[in-house]
Amino acid sequence: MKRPRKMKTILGASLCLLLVVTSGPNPAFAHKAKHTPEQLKAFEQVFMEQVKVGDLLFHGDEATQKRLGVTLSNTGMACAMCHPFASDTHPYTFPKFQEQVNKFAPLRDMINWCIEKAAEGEKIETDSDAMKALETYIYWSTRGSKLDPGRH
Amino acid sequence: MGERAMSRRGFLRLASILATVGYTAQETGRLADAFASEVQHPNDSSTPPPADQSYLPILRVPSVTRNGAHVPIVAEIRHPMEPDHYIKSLQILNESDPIPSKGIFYLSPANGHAYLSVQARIHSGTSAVRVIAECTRHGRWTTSQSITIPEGGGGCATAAEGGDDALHDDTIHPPVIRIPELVERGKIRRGEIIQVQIKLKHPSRTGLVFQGEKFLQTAEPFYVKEMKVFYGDDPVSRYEMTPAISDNPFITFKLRAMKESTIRIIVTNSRGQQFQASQEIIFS
Repeated sequence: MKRPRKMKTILGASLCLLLVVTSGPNPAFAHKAKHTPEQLKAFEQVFMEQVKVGDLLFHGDEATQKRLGVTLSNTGMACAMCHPFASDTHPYTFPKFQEQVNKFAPLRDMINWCIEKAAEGEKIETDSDAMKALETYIYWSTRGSKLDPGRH
Repeated sequence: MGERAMSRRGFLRLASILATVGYTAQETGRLADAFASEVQHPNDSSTPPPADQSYLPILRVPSVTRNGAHVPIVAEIRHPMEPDHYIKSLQILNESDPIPSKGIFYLSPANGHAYLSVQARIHSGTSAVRVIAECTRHGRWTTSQSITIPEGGGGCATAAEGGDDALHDDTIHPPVIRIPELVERGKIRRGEIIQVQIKLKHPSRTGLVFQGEKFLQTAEPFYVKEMKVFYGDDPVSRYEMTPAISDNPFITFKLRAMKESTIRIIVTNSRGQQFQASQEIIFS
């Protein structure tokens, strides 16, 4: 007689928990709602603003570097001088073991390697606005490519 | 140590002459012309007169860089660009390199500002990068900047296909014109001097190898040889390049936006292949 009561208690508690999890407002499920055209437009604007900032940084714009407090080169080099159209950046092959940095690395580590070694600049915080913008521009430039992480 | 450096410089000078002769007689002639003419230096006591201080070219190169294969060079001169008085050319040189000339950029008053940004190959060691600006009225003006590139910094020895960086491939991507003002603010105003940037994926091989302290020509050079710029139907600029230009040259020059028309560029490489790009100029 004792055991069924315990089972009932556990079952009841589980149901309550499930109810709490599924009934309350939870941002984790917000994306399941279909986006309105207005929302999609706003998201696109946010994305393209990042692409624009990344484009300016990638092509060596000094005002944008100053505004974001970064020095991507001390020699006058810009990313685009080696990577026109973001070519040879291969963002879709990351993360992977990257020989230059001798570790398993996401794209951000490779961007910093280029800044320090090729452009002779000062590496930037991996979660900085400048890094997000550079990464966004590189991904946007190679959009449509097939993901192939780990490839060399 | 100093004696060794002198000896090496001698070799480089000799190699420079031989290599230059080996490339094209045209190039040699142009260099001879550049050096034979009266060139006025900023530090000459006789020149320039105080009123002509604006004639001094400005040259920006890194004083030290590890990457001799991709040295960013900016040459400009604050000078009138009027139909009867303007800067007609900017030439970039490094006399101690096996390929001294990094190209001549011919301008017209339509440019609005004599400005060129490009990347070139420079051999390791300490040397001087020079710019010669030629004015239609007052002749040639020059200035130079010292640059130091450590041994193994890449530079002029690029014989093998595949280049100096295994990450890069030799595929060619036709040029695209980028106007930073359009990226930044999305509009151009009538009469403003805009930057015109040429993005181009193209390898640049000198065909030289550095062996036993001298350069040997072991392969045919392959490079972007010429870029012509048209604004509407009018030719406004022309850039004659040499194998000493870097891979994927990212070229910036200036242009006065006077009319709503098309900027068109035609790029020709050393194998005679031509590529074109165009960009509409519309005023806001």
